Amino acid sequence: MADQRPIEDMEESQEDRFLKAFDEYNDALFRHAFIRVSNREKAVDLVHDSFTKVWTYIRSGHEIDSYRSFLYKVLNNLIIDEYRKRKEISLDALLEADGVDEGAFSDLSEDTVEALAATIDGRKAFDLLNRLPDIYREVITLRFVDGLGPKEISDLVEESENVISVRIHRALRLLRSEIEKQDNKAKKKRGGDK
Amino acid sequence: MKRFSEQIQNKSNSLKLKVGEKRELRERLVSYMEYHPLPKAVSTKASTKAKNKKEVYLAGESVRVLNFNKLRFWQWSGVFVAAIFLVIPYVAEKSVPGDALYAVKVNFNEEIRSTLARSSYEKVVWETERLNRRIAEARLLADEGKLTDEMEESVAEAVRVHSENARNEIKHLKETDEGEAVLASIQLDTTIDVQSASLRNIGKASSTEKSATDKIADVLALESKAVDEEKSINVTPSKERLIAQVERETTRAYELLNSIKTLATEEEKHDIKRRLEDIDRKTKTALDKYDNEEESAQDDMLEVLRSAQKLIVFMTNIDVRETVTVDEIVPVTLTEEERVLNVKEKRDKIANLVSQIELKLEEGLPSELEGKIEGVVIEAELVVEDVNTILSENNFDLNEIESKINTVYDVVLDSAELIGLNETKPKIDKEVIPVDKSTTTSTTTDINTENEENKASTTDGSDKKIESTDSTNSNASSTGDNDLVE
Repeated sequence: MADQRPIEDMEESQEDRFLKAFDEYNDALFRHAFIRVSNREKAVDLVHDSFTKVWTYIRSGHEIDSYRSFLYKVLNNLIIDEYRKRKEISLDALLEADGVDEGAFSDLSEDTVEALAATIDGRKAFDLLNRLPDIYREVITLRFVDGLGPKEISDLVEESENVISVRIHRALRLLRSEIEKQDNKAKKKRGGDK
Repeated sequence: MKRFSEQIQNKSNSLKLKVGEKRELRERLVSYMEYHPLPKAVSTKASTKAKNKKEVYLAGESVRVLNFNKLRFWQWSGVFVAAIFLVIPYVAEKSVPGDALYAVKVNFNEEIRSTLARSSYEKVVWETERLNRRIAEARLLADEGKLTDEMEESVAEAVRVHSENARNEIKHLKETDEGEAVLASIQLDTTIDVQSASLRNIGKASSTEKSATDKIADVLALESKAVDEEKSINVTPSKERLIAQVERETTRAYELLNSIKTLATEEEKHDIKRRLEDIDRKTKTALDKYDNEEESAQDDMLEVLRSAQKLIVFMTNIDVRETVTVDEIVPVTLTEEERVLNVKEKRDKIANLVSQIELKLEEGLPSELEGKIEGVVIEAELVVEDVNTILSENNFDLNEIESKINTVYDVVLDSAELIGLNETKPKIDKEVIPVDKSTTTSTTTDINTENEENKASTTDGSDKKIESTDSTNSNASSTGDNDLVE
């Protein structure tokens, strides 16, 4: 347990723990940021800003229990800020455009998510992630790239687990339709070629 | 779904920071941390926070305190030493017998200063100062009614010890440097004189009951006697040394006068200034005399030194100032102008009395008196005439006419009393010296004392020019004086 370490170790650990967290999570955070903003430089800056924000938080006397979720939370907020700057379309507008209402019962089951995911090619889905609106890209990245559980994602995004599950479900459906669209296009293209 | 997850992750794993990017990012962060370091409180607080076990937390806290102390050990010990060696002695300086810190004052502060006094002369000066301090403390306690018999005895004993220490140093000094011993002895002697005069006055003030400081006064009387007995007779310091000492002491006296400007009353300041002017004048007269009458000049200088030192004791001890007037310690010395005025005034009085006595003679007096009185009248008239003649000359011996007029003055006064000229009573033994208005209250003096003073400052009569009493202290300020008052 951390508390039983000698005092000198503990005194150093604030800085050490912070740098250790950096070493441990920089790639994952970068990956997440890059998928979300689709800009390498911007992603690096976001990672940097996340860490400086966390450091400021520590300096103000706060204690961080879990760096992983805290870093994701900070990064996520920064990405949302970034989107706000870009003035992307609102979530409601998105939902309306999709012609779906959130919280449909059939979307809530983890089984249905799994069943749906099983029908999708992950490699193709990854390539098409940037076609998804960010709220879907966000949950898909958190769930499948970063490997967070529904509970963690729900804490991070500050939505209920149900909402998260529904969102993932929809995101997968969207992905599948995107893949299908692409497949159809490819087929047509091949047919046309013939 | 597992496949889906794996596929996505496999794909995404290729997304990584490049080595260069990672290094740069880390460097940026580290420098950010350096520019924004954790506050001490945060780092220690956070590092010792043990969430689950309170005991561990407490243990951590105590170790942290130790560690903190270890880091600042030297700073803390510095503060501690400063407190011991600066603050406590400083506070102790203001203590009086009975206070917790009095022992620190007497046994630590004063002993340290004793060891700092290297020469025997300095030691005498310091022991004298300690003697002053003890008496001042006793006065302070007596004023507050806190001076118990026991305390008074211990103060009296301390006074005796300090005086004895000083006498021993003087004895020691005599073997090596008799001149210096004389100067040191004057230092002690004058202090005892002034303090005795002051304590005597306290005694007089409380004549109905036993004065609280009687025991101390007794010790001082004994010590004064002892100092007198041990005095070197016919030994005087060298001319140069004496002059230097006079200069040093007068400088100090002037500096003291400056420093007590706000504390002393106008009258006191005026009186002191007048005495300092007297001292300057006497010094000049004595210096002039060195060529012809060295011995007398030396005596004059010693007298000047005594006066200066008495003034210093008077000025440095606020309690002394409250109980004694300057006049009791250092009587005023008249300027030649004042002395001439004095002579003229006496001459006029004699003339006035003689005319009254003559009237009585015409009325008729008992035969046994008549002859005597007639003789007195004739002599008085002769003297008055004589004095007038002398005064009209350019060069005259002031001492001579003073002694002439004083003798006749006394005889005429006695005669007037004898034949019942009541208006002459009470016998005028004090007179007002018409110097200027402001001095009238403070310059009353006894004729006898005045005569003594005159003797001490005998002039050869050749120089009648009045020395300027507005003496500037230009020469005095050139001496480096280490004994500045605190």
